[in-house]
Amino acid sequence: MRSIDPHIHMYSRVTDDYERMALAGIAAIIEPSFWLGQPRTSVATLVDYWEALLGYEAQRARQFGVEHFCTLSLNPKEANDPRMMGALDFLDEYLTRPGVVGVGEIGFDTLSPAEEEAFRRQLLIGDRRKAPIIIHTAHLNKYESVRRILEIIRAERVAEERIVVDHNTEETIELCLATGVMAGITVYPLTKMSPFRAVNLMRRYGTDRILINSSADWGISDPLSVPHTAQEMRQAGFRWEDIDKVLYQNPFNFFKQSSNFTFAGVE
Amino acid sequence: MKSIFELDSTSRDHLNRSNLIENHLWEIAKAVYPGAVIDPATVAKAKAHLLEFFKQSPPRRPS
Repeated sequence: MRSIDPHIHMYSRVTDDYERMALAGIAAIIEPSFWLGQPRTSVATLVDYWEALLGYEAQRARQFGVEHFCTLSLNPKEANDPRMMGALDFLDEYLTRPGVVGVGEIGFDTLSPAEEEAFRRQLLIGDRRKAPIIIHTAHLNKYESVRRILEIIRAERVAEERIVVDHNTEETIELCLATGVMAGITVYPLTKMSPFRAVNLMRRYGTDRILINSSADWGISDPLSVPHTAQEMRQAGFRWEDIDKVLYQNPFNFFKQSSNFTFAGVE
Repeated sequence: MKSIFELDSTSRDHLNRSNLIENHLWEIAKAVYPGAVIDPATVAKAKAHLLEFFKQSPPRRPS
């Protein structure tokens, strides 16, 4: 079964994971830039990280036949450090680099004014480039975070079809589906959604504007969350066509909106 | 290590433990009603009952 993981942080994973992902049918991945776990000391370290995603990380993926793409951004958490706002001066140019298929993840961590400023600026940079945008939603106070994000998208008149609002739960998914954005669901063991919860959501709301991802990172997470969700969908009685639609076609069509998404696809 | 009742309800630790409990309850719901679409409100209610039960039945602290 073919699939795409539209949000995974391979930078924090071992090479064995690429092998397991390839064996499980994951043909392409999108890696948004994220917070590395400790504060940065300069903008230059963020730019080096972007370069690592474009160079070494893509090469690691290629060894196993997995196509690697990334989205770049100043992470919401880092937006609270005034020293880091200078990174936004580099972002627009980086969006033209091969392999960069959008902006992300941007959004909110604590809903601070600094986060909102960085979010708005990056949202507009992405929209001007007609690039897909991955939006992170706060773990704490998630409902308010999603509500505010959608409010800003509307106020800035940004094209909703190029946006995925991520990490939805039962509490927030209706907010997203009432707009034109894609609704991301992160299947992350223990502390976020389980495969069963994700499938329960799709049984209630359908698969039309849903993207399933693992967001696997440093934490106890699973780079095989997307294929595990396929298995759970099958057990719940979903047809193979529906599974293929949500785990392959939806992310494929969403990122195809970027001219840098050169993935030829899997027959 | 603090119990969930002693944690700040807006803390990351509280959120993670709360989600962990919810995920277990979702699996229980699946075991009880396999193949059914589960109403999230049912899980929320079960969680509230369960936490109340544990709150009223605290374990003995090791001396």
